[in-house]
Amino acid sequence: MAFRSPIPRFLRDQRGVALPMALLALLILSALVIAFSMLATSEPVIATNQKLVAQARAVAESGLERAIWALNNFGDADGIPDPLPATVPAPYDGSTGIPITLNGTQVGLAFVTVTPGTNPNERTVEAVGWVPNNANAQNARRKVQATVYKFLFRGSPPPAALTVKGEINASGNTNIDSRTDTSCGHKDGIWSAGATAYGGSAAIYGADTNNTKNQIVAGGNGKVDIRQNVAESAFTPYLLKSADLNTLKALAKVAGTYYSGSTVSGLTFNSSRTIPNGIIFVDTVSGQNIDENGANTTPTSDFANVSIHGGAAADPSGIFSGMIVVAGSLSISGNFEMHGLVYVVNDLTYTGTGNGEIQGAVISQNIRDTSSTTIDTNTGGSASINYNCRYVTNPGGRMPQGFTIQPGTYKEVAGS
Amino acid sequence: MTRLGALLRDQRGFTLTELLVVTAALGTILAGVVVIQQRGQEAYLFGSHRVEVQQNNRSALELMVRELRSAKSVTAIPSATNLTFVDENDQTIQYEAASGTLNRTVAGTTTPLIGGVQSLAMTYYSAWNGAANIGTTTTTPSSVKLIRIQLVTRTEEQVGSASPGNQRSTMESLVRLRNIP
Repeated sequence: MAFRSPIPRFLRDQRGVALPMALLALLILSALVIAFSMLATSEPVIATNQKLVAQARAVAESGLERAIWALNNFGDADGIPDPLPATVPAPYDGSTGIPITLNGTQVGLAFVTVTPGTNPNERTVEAVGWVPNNANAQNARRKVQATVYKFLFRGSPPPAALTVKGEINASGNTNIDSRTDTSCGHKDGIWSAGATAYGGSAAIYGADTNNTKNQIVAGGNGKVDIRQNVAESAFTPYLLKSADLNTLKALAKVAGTYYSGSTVSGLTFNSSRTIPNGIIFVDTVSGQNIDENGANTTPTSDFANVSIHGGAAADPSGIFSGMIVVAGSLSISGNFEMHGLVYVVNDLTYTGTGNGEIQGAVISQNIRDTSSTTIDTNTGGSASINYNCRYVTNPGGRMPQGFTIQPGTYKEVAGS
Repeated sequence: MTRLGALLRDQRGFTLTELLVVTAALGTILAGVVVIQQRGQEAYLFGSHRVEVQQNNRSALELMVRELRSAKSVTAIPSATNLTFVDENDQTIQYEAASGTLNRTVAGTTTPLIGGVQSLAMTYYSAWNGAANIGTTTTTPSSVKLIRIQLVTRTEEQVGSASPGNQRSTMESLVRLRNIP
């Protein structure tokens, strides 16, 4: 009797076991390979995208640098006129792409738009970088924005050796002289928004082409020794705005010569606390610019109160070179010698002795004029101010002399 | 006699030779399959972990560089793994690597940015000599103008050092703080 197994024939068949086993292995392996390859293909795509974006950002930055170059080379055929015309010339109006090349090969296109800033010494620059260009279907784009800025007194040096938006009382052996340096124009000796009183042996000379001292006029034009009762609006081009102050703060912070906090309400610089050359910025207690949020919003308790005595200069020559900005009141006394610019947001008292002198210029903004009869600036002793263009336009040699990015305004923004 | 009985009583079977041949053949095939599958799995582990460490590293470094480029001021640099700065929107941001995690703290709220941080080394420079390609390091926060960030990531899952899944990714970037003069 023939034996008939209940197991179907194809299961009993031992031939060809290798094929199903190989297929099974292939299946498992294929699944792994597919999963891995999906992960692996995304990596080059991500890497390529990142490369394109990095290139686009670099192209946008190139556009920004090109705009800064054009602003600083206003006389060049490819430059941007200064002051900025109502219609900014192409390509700085964003109409045409500027090709950005690397070793002769075009990497991308930068579209640059230059517009006026809040103040006359500011410009807003927007630069959009495209890689490889703005028409390609597969492109990358990045936009950077910055306010570029020129040191205020570079473009508009103060009109007098002592400029005070308030009243002045000059007495003792005060000596103010603008005659020796006329390289940035003939400057007056004194400008005051209120009255200027002078007495004692005070000698005030403007670059008015005569050597007679203390010739005084009210307002008006022409060169003179003392110009009193000047319209307040005439001071505006010479006053540091919030943005100017913030830039100077940033420069002082980097140099380690920025002061703020409770110490500034009675800060004294003398031979035991000296000041190094550069930009010295004594801010308010809070660190906020005075009246930034509107007139009379900052309490006077927030103002800085600074004294500088002889021997305060850290420089071995005994002469301080740079700029002193005080967000409050400043008193200079003794034989303090300085080359540069003093800018006081509120009141100034200057009583020099010995060979103390300031070569450069002094400005008092007198932001709080509580009484019309207040003597805001008192120069006595042998206080001496000699106008010097170089020390005013580039105090301490530390000021960027052309348009540069205003600290705190560089941003990478969305859009095109 | 039932069919089942016949089957059970049937004493014919495979010869020893047949069994040995089949076992040997199957063994060889299975060994091959196991090896291939193991290699496949290792390749997958290698690839997926490599992708993971690279993506972690890239995303974290990219964010740090972008934020630092437009930072307004650096407020604290207590160590090479800890940095606090004020960003363009006046928000205080802190990056700190601790216990394998890179944390980002914004206005007091800490969020883990990435895990698997092997090391983070930030070098703070106050000046950069482009010609010599070297910088002057500083420990004063307000003097910092450039920062070199070196970030090494590893897989978040703990794997043996000999495993193909034990991947590292080292990325480095030098960022100039554009808002600091």
